[in-house]
Amino acid sequence: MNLNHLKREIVNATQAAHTGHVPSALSVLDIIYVMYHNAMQSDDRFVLSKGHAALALYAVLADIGVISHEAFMAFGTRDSICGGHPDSVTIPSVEFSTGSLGHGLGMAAGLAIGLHGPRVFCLIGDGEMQEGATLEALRLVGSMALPVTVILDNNATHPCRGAVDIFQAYGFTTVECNGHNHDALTQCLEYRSGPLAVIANTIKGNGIARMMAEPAAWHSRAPTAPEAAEMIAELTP
Amino acid sequence: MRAQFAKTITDLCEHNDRVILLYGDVGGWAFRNVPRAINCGISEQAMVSMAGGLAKAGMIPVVYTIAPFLAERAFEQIKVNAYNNLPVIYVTVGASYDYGTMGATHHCPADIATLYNVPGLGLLCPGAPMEADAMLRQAVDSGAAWYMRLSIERGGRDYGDVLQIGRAIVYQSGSIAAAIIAVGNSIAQVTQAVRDMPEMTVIYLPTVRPLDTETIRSQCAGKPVLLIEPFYTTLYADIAACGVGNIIGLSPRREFIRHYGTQRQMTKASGIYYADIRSALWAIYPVMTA
Repeated sequence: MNLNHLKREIVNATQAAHTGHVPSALSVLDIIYVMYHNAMQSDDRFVLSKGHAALALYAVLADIGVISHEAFMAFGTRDSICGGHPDSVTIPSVEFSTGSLGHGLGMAAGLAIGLHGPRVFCLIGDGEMQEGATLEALRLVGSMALPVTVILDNNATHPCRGAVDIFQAYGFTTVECNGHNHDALTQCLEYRSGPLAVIANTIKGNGIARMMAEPAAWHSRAPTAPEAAEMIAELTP
Repeated sequence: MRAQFAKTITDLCEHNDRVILLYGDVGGWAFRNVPRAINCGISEQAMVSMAGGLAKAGMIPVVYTIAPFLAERAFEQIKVNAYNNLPVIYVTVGASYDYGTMGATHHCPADIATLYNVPGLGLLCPGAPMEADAMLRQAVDSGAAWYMRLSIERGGRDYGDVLQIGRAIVYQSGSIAAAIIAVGNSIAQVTQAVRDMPEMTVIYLPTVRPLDTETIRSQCAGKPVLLIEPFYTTLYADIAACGVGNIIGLSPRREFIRHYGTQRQMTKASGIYYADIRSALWAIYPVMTA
């Protein structure tokens, strides 16, 4: 399934606000979409530990009606509920205000313990696997056998080396898939018998040629109006 | 105070399903009877984040370790929990120099000054075991986030029966126009320093934040004040804003103490021993007898 309609929204919101991490949002958009449409059951929770991918979360939440389209398009404005990183205080469905890398998984683990039953899904970036706090949390999730699913957004340009070995060493059932294939993601996310790690291999900037070619340059660069128009055209069938 | 904390947290967990203790692989034996406790191991940052997650799920997490490993090592996690409005209670031991033979990695004279910079985090410094008990119970009932600093240094009288978070205690209200403000467990050394001076007003502040500005104003307005803090100075500006007179501050110098000794010896080395307080009193009470 093609999410170009959501990618166009992301480009528009970023261009209007002159701010936003578009390539990071594009690498996780499919994952978050599958999360909210297929993977999560009614009491489950989702933590976006890779907070700078916020635009992808807002796009999906707006698409399913949790936030209004207007709120999403007001991204990055003075009193917006949609800041550069998601804020749990302004958007109730956002479990935690993330943005500093490495905090989300520990918080997700605590949430899982406190909820006594539902599964907590936590999306982390390959960069977060460099943070010691992430590894601390992996150890705790694994040793306590918590109902936590970690999805690793593993960008092709700088994937986490040894990710399979790391997760397995910490006691996670570990699977790997194409992070842009909804069927593959859905199947991987079905496992619910203990700690699960889904290594989702992704492309930073997926869907926009200029961003895929130079992901680092576009990491936090908002497209100008002419650039955005080009990108919208590319994303329009 | 640590032994009392173990008793109190056991009791709280037994009677309140929402309370849960997390500790960083310290004090385990004391917590053997706590019905709901997680030893998070030597992972303080994840422990603090986990506490945030537990609070999000509606639990009342109490996090326990040695002061520097919480306030310094996991400072950012504490900040993020506060940013998320998560009511977590942080309790530490060690205070400034209780671990007197362990070197500065185990000292934390900076905890209050550092955590002062986390918006919304209350700061508690009980001076005696039942005060710690009262403060922890009130903190659990409050729905707010607190940092409580336990120490082996303790005062004479235990105010646990009357203590209210956020309220100063008037240790003695004197006749002269001078006052001592004893923050936290500096009350121990202060009460020794003034044991023959009933004319000196002494205000005891077991709560650092929120500050009881009303009591400070009513007891100390216009009077020269000796401000004793058992940690790197934090409250000078806030006390000054209460309309007191000249303030002389006594607190540990911002220097690593590279000597080793008992907690008593370290208190002397850090310059807030009762003899130091006695000497400093000259500055606000020049006519006192030696």
